[in-house]
Amino acid sequence: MKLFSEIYSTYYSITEKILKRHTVTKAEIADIIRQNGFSESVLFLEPKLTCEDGYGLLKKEDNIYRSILKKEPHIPLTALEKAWLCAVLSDPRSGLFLDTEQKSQLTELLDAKKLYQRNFLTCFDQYSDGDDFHDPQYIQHFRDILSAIHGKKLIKISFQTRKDNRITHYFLPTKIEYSAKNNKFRVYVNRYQKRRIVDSGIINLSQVTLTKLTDITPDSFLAVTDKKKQAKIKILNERNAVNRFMLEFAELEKESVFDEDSGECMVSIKYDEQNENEIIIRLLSFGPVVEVLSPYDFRRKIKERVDRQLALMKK
Amino acid sequence: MAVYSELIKNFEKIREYVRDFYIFGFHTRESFDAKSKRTYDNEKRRIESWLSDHVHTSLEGHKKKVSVQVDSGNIFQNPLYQCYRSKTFTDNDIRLHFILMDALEDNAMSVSEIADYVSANYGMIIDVQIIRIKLKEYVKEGLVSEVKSGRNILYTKTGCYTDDIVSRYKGLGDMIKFFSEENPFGVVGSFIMDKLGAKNNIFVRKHAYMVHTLDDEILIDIMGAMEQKKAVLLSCVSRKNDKKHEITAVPMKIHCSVQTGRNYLIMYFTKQKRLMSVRVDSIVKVTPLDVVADYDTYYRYYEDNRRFLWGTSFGKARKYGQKEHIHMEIAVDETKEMYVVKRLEREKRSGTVAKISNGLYSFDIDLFDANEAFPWIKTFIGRIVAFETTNEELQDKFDSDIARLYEIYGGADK
Repeated sequence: MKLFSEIYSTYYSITEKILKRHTVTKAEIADIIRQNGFSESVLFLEPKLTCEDGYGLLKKEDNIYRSILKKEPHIPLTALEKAWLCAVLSDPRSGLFLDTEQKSQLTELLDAKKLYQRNFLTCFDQYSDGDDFHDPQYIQHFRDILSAIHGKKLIKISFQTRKDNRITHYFLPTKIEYSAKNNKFRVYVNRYQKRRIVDSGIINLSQVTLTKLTDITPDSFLAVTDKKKQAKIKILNERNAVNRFMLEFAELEKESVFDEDSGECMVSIKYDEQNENEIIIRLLSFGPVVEVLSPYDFRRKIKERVDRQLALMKK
Repeated sequence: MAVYSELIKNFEKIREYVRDFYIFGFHTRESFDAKSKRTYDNEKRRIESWLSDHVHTSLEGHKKKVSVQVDSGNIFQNPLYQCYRSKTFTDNDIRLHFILMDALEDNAMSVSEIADYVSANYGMIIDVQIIRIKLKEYVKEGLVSEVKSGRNILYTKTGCYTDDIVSRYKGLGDMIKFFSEENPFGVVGSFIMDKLGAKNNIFVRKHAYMVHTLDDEILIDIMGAMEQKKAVLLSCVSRKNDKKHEITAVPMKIHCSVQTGRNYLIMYFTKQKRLMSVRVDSIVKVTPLDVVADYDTYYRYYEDNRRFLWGTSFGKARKYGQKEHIHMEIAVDETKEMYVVKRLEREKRSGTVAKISNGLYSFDIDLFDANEAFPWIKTFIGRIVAFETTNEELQDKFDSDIARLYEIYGGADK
């Protein structure tokens, strides 16, 4: 079983799409390649599909290209794909999507050895208070929310706030976020009143106490745009900090300038405002080899912690 | 002179460039001094072609730098998966792929029958030997199965299709979408989604280290050896100084960090009788060796010792097996800051948390390498009433780090 194989390649996938059309014009071939290929694929793939000394899978008749195949191409699951599915089915989170009975039927049908055993890996720094993926209520809430996303229908959700208040509203869920660090799911929602959007927010799935699907299609949709802030950070050439920082913050959009003489690096990172406290904590973990230069209020929050720490040590 | 192609033969060749553009994004053509300028230009052009929506180029003086910019929290598919879709092939490979899948749809045929069928139905003369090799390969890949019929071996297409099972099992399509962004091997889920023509537009990831996908080929080989309880020979390139070296050891466990983006392989070295770790992204080749008779004994030794690991470090070689203690006391305003105690509890790993008095909590742990927990300790800056460790260097480092931080931020408004 090979992961890097031509059978999964973009060129094979595009060729399959074209052959499924049975007859195509040259312009349509180019369009399909542009829509599905890499940015230069049309230069390389189109001649191979249309020229006489190419792949020979299309026959030119007048200005039409016809597939030489008897039927539409239909490619079965490979051994690698079956093995991956079997490994995934043994993950507790697969129960959010399929019942135990469905999972065992599917495992039998796939008849493959798992691609890997889950106990070959350990996420040693994952938080220990992750969601309970076996809880039947949690599973039901997850599925209801998923169903509302698919149907673009409002869903009534009750949830417990951190201060232990119970809140109930009508929401349109837009996407579901999973964090491997927290081992938790969160749902991005727009809140509605009388079919009109009021605001948007994020709900921890573990705090949901009740979900009820409705048939209500909201009048207006709104794409949630996260509020991004930008921080400018200096990284010193000590303790392998540049490497460590760039890898740890690789998940964020950033721009960096490296000074080859000093080995220092200046980085601008963009982050969601709601994650600011978490970013502060992560930056503090680097100690004095990372310095926040701006914005002022962000730097001030770190300064407050440092001042407080020194005061504690002087006591 | 070789003609440029978007496709590549060897994944390893591109792995380092993609990683560099994605993680650092500040190196210029001149920084890649180990390679020729033409190689750099070709690899850069390929990456720009595969990841065009995410590649940014900018000037630093007169030098151009390339970066791959992705905000992982707002993206539905890991763009680096595109790298796995770039394998080169021959004209015969692609011809035979579609023709065999067509010819064997409802038929079981021998190699010579297939050759005749191809000639009669598709007007192509393809050498029997080439067909035989492709069939053998496709049996391994699971696209074709072989059945014995008398003295002949007949080939037919395997019969499990994504669209069939997805329509039969409601929820399976979403499951594939979700796990297609999982590490490791999520890319395989994305291959299945290609077959379905499906796109993930529901699930996003926070704290996602997309770059790990580049190590999947290496992990598949390591896990294959672990499955068979074999030792491995690893060819590595040091992340610190680019030096090549080889390691022979017994693989025990992959330790994935979901906070720092670094994955390690924990291994047992039979000669030195000790455990050690190696960064997975520093491994360039895995060669499986013999089955290890004492594998289970080594594994138990690892299990007995893993509680003394904060992450992956076993400390200095000369101090192997010795433990270092950390004791920390944290001040908490119990009326409104109990979330700090919750943090301690959920992040303590094998440490212990206890209440000393109202508003004062302690954390204690024994580790092979106390240094490894130091970044986490510093996340409590502003609350640390006491920090004590048997590692004297670390004790001094704590004091000097706080003093240096005060120089940077402390005192009158800076």
